[in-house]
Amino acid sequence: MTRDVSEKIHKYEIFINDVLKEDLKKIHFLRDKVLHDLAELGQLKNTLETYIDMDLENGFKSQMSLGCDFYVQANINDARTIFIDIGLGHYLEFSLKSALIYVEKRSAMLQKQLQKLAQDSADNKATIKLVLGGIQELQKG
Amino acid sequence: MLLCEEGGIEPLNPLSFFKLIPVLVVNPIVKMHDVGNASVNYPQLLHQTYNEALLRNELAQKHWQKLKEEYMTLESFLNDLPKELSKDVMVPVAPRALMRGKIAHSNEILVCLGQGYFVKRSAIQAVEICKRREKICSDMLESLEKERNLFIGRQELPLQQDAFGGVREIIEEYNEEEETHWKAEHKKKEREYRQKLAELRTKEKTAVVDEESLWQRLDELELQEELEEELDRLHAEESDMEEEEDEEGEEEDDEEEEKGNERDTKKEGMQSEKDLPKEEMHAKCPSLGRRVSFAALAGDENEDEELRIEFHHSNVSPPDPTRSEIIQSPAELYLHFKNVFLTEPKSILKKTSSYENSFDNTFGEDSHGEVTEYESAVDLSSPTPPPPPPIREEVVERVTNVSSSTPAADRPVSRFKALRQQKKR
Repeated sequence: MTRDVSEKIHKYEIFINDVLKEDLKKIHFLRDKVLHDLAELGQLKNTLETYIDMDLENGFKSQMSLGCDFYVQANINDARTIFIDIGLGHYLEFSLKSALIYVEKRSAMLQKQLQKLAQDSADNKATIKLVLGGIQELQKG
Repeated sequence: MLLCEEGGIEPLNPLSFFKLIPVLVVNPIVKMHDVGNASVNYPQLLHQTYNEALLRNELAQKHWQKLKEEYMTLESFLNDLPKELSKDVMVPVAPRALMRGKIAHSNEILVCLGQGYFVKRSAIQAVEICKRREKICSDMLESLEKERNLFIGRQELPLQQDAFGGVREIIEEYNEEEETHWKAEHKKKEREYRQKLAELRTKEKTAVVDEESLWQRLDELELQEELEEELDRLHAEESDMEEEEDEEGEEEDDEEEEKGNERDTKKEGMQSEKDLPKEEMHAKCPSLGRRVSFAALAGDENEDEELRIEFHHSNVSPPDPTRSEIIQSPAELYLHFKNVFLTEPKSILKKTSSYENSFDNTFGEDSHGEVTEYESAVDLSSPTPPPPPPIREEVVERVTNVSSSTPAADRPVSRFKALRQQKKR
């Protein structure tokens, strides 16, 4: 009897460690990525709002990064359109206002993803707790 | 400090520069485990520790490699940039967002020096900065490679040398019984030794106490002293002899050996014959001849070491060069075939006047058939006289005939000589 129980406990422990916890790790990784994207979108949104507010349609000067903290001055003549990465390395030209709409929609979508991931993570954690409880039960009985 | 920020990818504070250098830290948890449990798997611990260090090292290497590549691409870009006055580019205005734009001043580069300080440089100057930073990267990579090799060596060597394997302990067993036994034995031995020592001392004392024995002892000492003196004198003479013998090179080595033996045997003799009366000792003492002393003593002391060379004269008489039928040297030709040669050969040696004067008459008497300066053919015509004995019984004074030595008129004579001879007449 006791041997069966200990074997079962062992199996459950393996399940927790090798399956549930690994899944949890994956979920957290994805969540971090989504959060990163969201932050970037928020930054972009701020930039767009600034451009719209400042009415920079006639162009402006900026410092362009060359990498490794080397900068060179760049003049932007046409500030009416902006190219935004829409995924998989593709850039789409937007007007500033439509860009703003795009950013909002995309961030809403990411929020949804984030919620789902949070749900998954919670579910996973609950499962782990359940299995741990089961193990405890087995040890008692 | 120049490299405090990594371009564009992720900012690094100056401290991270040091963090990147892997430090070998033993996991404290493992350490505690080590203390608590005596049977720790040391090889595994070593392996684990160095694996961690190697992993850190690898990450650092990757980081610096990446940085170096970035600087290289930047350098090539900066080389191309000032070739044009302006350039159409897509300017990144936000993450993942670009705008159409133009690079305005292609030869003005703003370079971050860290800590929020920027300098404006020309493209060429910026390239130089790039190169310097590239060099720092390569140096760092080099030292990281060295560190990697060091770690690998440290990881492998103890296993190769079997540092954890056959541990041998030196065990000295302590047996109380044996120890006590040994101590008792030791005491006994020590006591015996001390007793012997005491006996010896008492013996000496008694020997000296007796008056007769005292005188005997004094006599002995006197004798010894004399012998030593003798020996010293002998040695001094021997050294003289050695100098002489230097001339006869062949014998020297043998004689050196002999002398060595001689001294040894003498010393032995001295010690063994201390108690003999003085006269006898003198008789035994070697005379000052070269080899006799040694031979005599050696014969007495150790016969088996003696070397004797015996030889006999053969019956054959030694060859007489003048009488022998066989011609042994070219000079003898003239002796054997005198009738064939009308004149004796001329010498290749230069004639000197003094030589001629003094010898030309005497040669008739002591001719050994050698090639001489002899000029006249007087002897050649006459039969060979019997060769004179090598040593004459009586010494006869030479009569020099001056007139006969006068050279013939046709012979060339030096002017001075002629003058001298005229004066004599």
